[in-house]
Amino acid sequence: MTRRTGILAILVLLTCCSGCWDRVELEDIAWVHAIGFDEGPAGYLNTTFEIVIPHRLGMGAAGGGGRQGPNYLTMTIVSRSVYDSIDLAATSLGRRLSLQHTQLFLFGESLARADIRGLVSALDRFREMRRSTLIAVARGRAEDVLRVTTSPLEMSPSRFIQTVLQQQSRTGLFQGTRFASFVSALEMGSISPACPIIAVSRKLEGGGGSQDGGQPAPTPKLGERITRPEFPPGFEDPGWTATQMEAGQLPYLGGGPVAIMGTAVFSGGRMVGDLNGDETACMLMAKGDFERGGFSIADPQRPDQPEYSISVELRGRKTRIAAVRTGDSVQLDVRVSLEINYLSWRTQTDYTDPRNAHLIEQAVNAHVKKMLDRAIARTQKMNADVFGFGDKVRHTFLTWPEFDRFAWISKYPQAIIRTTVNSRMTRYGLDFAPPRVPPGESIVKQREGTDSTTGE
Amino acid sequence: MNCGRPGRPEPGAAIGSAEAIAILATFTVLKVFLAAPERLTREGQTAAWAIPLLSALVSVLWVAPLVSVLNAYPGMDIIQITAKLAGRGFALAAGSTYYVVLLAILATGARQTVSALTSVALPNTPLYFLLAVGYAVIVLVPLWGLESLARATVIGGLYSYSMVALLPAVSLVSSYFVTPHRMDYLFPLLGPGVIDMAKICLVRQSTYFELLALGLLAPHIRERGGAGKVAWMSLVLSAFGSSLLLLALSLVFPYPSLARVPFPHLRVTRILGIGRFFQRLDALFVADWLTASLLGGALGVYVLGLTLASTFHLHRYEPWLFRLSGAVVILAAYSIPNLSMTVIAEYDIVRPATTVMLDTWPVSLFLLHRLRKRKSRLGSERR
Repeated sequence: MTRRTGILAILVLLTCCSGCWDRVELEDIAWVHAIGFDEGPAGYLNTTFEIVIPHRLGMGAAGGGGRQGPNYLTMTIVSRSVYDSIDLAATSLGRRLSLQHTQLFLFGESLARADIRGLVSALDRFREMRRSTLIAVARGRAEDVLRVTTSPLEMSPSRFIQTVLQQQSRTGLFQGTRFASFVSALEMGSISPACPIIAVSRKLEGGGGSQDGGQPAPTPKLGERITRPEFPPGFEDPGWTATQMEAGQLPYLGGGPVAIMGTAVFSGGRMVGDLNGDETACMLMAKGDFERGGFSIADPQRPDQPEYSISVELRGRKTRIAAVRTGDSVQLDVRVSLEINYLSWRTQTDYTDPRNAHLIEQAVNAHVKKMLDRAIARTQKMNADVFGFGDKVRHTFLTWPEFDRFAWISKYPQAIIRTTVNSRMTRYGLDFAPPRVPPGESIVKQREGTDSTTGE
Repeated sequence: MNCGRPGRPEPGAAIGSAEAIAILATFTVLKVFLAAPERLTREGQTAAWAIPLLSALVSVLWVAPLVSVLNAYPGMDIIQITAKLAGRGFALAAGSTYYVVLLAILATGARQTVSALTSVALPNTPLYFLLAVGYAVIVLVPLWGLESLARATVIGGLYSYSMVALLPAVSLVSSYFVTPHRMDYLFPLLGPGVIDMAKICLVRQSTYFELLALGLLAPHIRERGGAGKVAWMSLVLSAFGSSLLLLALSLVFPYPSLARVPFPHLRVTRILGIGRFFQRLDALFVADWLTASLLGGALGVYVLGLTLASTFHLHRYEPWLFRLSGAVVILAAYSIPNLSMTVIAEYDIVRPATTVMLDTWPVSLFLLHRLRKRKSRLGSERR
């Protein structure tokens, strides 16, 4: 018995020997932080790996400590599939590629518009895949986005991905989409997939801008200006703000070369359109995922004068969606509740005065409703329910087969969707009223032809 | 060690009710760590989480007669009771059938465990090596006897069960930080529909096939008449444990995704929001899953040994443990080509077939016992 037990104990200890087969040294692995996919020539796939160079990570931030270049490398490989690319990259780098720490899958726009369902399902099957990986669409080519230093503030691209993701809850200008939720949306039938858009600044993409050793300089050259032609048509409209743009269109100089803003809208596995920053914020509000974000609205008392626009921070509260289904027609009642943090004004009207607060609330309600309605109408034209209204429609069915037969996505364009926005001004910052303008003085004219505001 | 009368292996071994409950509940619930959620979801769709609860209600129809018969014949196992009530031929047939079915279920379970390990953690390690290591464990533990096995199960089972409960708790709590969970995934509430759910629950009472092992363990329970307590507690614990875990998985994976993921428990542990604060939280669950699987294998082989000894009136069950474990490992390694076939073999062939056995064996014994009792009462009245 003792002998037998001893033999068995030895057999159990053999478990440790599994390392003989699955032993991998850290020095033998190339850690992939991001993967980009683009359409390749003749139906091939261009896969770009962004791989961290570990020994450079400890050399300090840019410009210090004798750093000799970026602490990552990118490699683009043309092949039939991503797994071919992994093997082929290993033959060049001399290390096995590991996707265990991959933080981002980036799809080039043309590939996304073709269809990425097959590619996504192939990735989902892979053992090293983490379903919490971020997924995004690159305006233009994914390989271009991965080749620029993403942020001058960060040591590594993956750190940038982590920090930029936090900006969703602070700005609401994009929807951080995890691989798991993208795959779920692909097969649910009650919500269409959506993910953020990442783009290289338009100025750099066009070949302009400051360049420093092939990488954009974080500080612009002296005298460089943002000129008016960089704004899109209609920018003079009082209701227009820069958040109604998308990543890559933003008018800025210096800083990081890439920006994340707006939403790529998918119908099935095909990208069929996009939503701008404000529309994305409204989409998040309707989904109940909006935490907070800044909005600029025209001053209710000077709606035609954009220079008097008012800044507010909106905070998401409860969103209620009621779905009523009659036969094939669906009516949805979307009620969005918001909290207003009144940030700044340029007129002398005291909107913190309870008698005037309703003016701001009405202006915010009207602005958000307009953007929300526009986003809904646009996605209805795209035949893509990125709002997830189908999840509520699913509640009206008792069984899954009934819901499957209903084919919600095909009914979405005809759905009647009523929206109501209710906001309440609850915060005013540290001041109650605007700084007093002494009698006899006046606020300087904002531009030619507008009236000055007096302190009376 | 085993010098008792024929058909009663390990006569001196006695375990308490709590230990028996741990054995049966662990043995029954461990399948939720493997492919059971995927298969139940494929059938029950959005209402899959209700299947373990409703099937448990159906199972009452055979658990109640089983308990009644075991209490009526204290000190005897179900095969001995069958021999007494229906004759040796029936006992041999019933014991052999139970043995074959349990062997098949253990083999498919072993294969699922090893497949999960190779596909998730050790992709290059040969399947046969992992099975050989598993073989060592599932022989060793029952070889030490029922009391040691029971103690190991109380410790391991408690850990496994608390993890079963912990995952839903962690999922729900962490959903407030990171939100991969959605209540909407539970709609439509009736899944495939009422009639289909009723049919599924009728067939899936076989989920509780492992509770039939009570028939062999009952003579070893220390408390007189403790079979009832053990049966009901094990049924409730395994039903709620399975249902709770399925519910957690259904909140993370929408039905179409859950119905194609073979080991959803392992995948969910890797995306728990709270895992961002506790590095490698998933390792806790892997240990739990391995503990439960190995304990399940050991318990299964022990019950197989008891079945063999009781059916064929053997004095000793220990020498058979090596052979029985070998049979499980060889069947797992060579009789089933891949994981997909393993799941089909277990959930489409073997378990549905056991429904017939579950619904007839204990009930028949109960009826025979009542008939015999009535006859003896009538006989005594005539006298």
